[in-house]
Amino acid sequence: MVDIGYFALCLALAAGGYAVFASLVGARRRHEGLIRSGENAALALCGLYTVAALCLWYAIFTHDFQLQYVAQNTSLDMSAKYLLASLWGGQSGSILFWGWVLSIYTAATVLFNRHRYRALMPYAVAVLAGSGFFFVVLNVFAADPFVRLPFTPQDGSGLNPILQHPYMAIHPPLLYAGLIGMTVPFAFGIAALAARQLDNTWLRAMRRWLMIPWTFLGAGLLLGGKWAYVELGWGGYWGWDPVENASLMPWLAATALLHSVMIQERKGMLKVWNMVLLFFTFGMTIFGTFLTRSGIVSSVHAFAQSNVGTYFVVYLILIAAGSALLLLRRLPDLKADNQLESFASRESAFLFNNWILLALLFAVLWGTLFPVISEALTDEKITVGAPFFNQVSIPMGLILIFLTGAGPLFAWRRTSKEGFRRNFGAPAIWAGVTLVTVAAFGVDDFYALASLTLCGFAIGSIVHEYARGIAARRRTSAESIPVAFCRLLTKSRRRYGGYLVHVAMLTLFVGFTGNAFSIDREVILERGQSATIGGYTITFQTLAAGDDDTKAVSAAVLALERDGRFLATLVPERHFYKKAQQNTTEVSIYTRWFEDFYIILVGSADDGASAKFQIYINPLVGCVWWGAVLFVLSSLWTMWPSARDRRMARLDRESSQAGAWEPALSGATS
Amino acid sequence: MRQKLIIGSLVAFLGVVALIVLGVRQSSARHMTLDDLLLQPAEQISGRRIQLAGCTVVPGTIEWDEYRHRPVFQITDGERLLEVRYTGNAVLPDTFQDRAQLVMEGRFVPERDRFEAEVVMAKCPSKYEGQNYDEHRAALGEANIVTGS
Repeated sequence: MVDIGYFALCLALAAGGYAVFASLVGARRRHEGLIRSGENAALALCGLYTVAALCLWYAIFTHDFQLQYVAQNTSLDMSAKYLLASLWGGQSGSILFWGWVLSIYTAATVLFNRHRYRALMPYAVAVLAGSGFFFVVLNVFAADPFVRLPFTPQDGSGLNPILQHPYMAIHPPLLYAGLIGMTVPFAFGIAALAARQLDNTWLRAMRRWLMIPWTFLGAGLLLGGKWAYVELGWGGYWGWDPVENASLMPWLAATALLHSVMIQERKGMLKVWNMVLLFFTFGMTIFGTFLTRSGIVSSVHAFAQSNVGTYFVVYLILIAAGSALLLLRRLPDLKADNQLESFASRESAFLFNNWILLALLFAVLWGTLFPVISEALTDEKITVGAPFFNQVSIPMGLILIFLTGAGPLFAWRRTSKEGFRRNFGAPAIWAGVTLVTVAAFGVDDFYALASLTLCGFAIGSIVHEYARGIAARRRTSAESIPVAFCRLLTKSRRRYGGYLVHVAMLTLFVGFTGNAFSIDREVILERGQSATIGGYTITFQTLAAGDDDTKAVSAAVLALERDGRFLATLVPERHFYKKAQQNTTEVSIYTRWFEDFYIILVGSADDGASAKFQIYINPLVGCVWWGAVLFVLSSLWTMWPSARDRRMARLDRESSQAGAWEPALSGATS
Repeated sequence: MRQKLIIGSLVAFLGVVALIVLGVRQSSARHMTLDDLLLQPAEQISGRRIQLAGCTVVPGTIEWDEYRHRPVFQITDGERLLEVRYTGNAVLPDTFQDRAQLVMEGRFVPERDRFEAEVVMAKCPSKYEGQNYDEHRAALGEANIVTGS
């Protein structure tokens, strides 16, 4: 099986190379047969990658420890789901997984667009297969997962126990699906430039393919946060570690792009900007991968460091140089159809949103790379930590919340004074009411007040938008309010679904704001002793110890009360994994609807008579998890093809059957 | 409109730069290896926030306090040794153990010849990709190895 896997990778090398070659030559000669052949080679690439991945899985599940990868990343005592996940647990496997997912995206692009975007497809396939080719090269020459050891160990070294958590099995594939998926919109961008098809057709193709990885990436980031929260035991979910930042940055760029694309579709503006943003989004995914694999910045995330860094630099330079050259040659085709007319317009709001998102991205990038930059400039390597990132991102976050609310209230082109008053009135009242309510609860932190007030404003604006939409429907038909609401959501998914995504983001921001009120306390308790923290009383009842084959467990039993009422029995634990010789903390969390009571057993005295606990009270943290769920659902709703999209798809298909090269020819001559 | 736009962008840009510069001033730490730290004159680094990287926990030197919270331990870069006391509040990461690779933030206290760490991050020591087969063999345990297959 191992040989088959390696052989499949070698064949994939040929398939990838051929797909690029056939597509490019086919596009140049307008030879439909060659183009189809290139597409088929891209499908073959996917098939071969699938074979390679299945072979590695086979080796992992049959515990073939002669394979270095299997010996290093798995062990006999691992359960099936973690064996499954160890395909992407180590360096070479994760690169195989990366290439595989990319080849699946490539195959999906080919299969969905057999009859659409025909002028774009050969170039898009060339870019996708070219990226796939890069990862095969990595797998064959730099990170071969099928390397054999000169001996066969009886057991492997296994997976670190803190990573043996269900969230950890799904979090990396989600992130990968997000990062890798950005290749598809990038491919369409390059194709539009190469084929000179720069009307709105490619934007439609690109936007849909951008929504998918954007959703995956967002979900992956949030799931990683959830894992850190329940597993790592520091009471938080986001630490501004370089590896976290590396995934956040492309997400921010893609968010900016998703917004500014709308202005191009509608007003024919920002064409160059959007193209640059698209290249930048894709570049950030590769750069982020390079950052985490090359070890140029220190991170908690243990990634094996190896020579793949050099390959990524070469790849990144090729991408940057190639796309910049192509863009420069096509600049004359990218003239704006309209000009910005007023600051008080929808266009300006979108543009401003872009600036803020990019400024945030730039700040995160600056902070992440500051050790490298400062060393180059001053010879002193300076690092910045979470306080820097918080300080910089909070003000920008506040502006983003404001824009979320304000954007839809501006009219396109320019907003009249009267329109301004009419639209901003209701949301302003929402903001005022929120401010008074929050202040009445005794909140006096400036940022927290500002954040919640702005969230109130933005929610008010979204409600106002829905109310306007429902009223408009009811004027022309006799629909009841709930029916009108549902129709609104179904008929214009992009707009009203998009507002739901905004609601999800606002929910997240409310959750983030909760950090301003969190309490962090450490207590030492003897058996039977109680302590009161933030209105909660905990009583340390007893300490239990247990032991099995894999781990030793010590567990503290505590009673949690509030206002004299018993709430729950909490059992924070410490585990000691014998094989890995490692301790893990198992936190205990009691969730109420507006806050979490989070307790960690730090350790106990030798006689077990007393123990030390770390306690966090995290208000509003639930909003982060509910916001995450809503984010995924609303994004799915928004990107799901509407009836209009399906009609457009049919039109695209029919026009391409009428004459595949007509649009290309007219594009080239006009 | 064009002029307004340029002025607006400039103001926004300066705002971002100001935020970044202020942020860096307030929360920066100097990155050093153990070598750098011990070769520097003490007065230059005492009291300064330092990020210390590239060192591992010397096996058997971790001395926990009563509740296994804030240990004192020795670190090494292979040549030099330094005592470290953990002073932070958070529970140490689960990966903190003998031979763990550490990245720490804190201050050097010359009077006690000791590093006081407020933040300790530990990389997982079980990943040994890139090491040679001898170490590999040692890591897997001699008894486990069946040769000649």
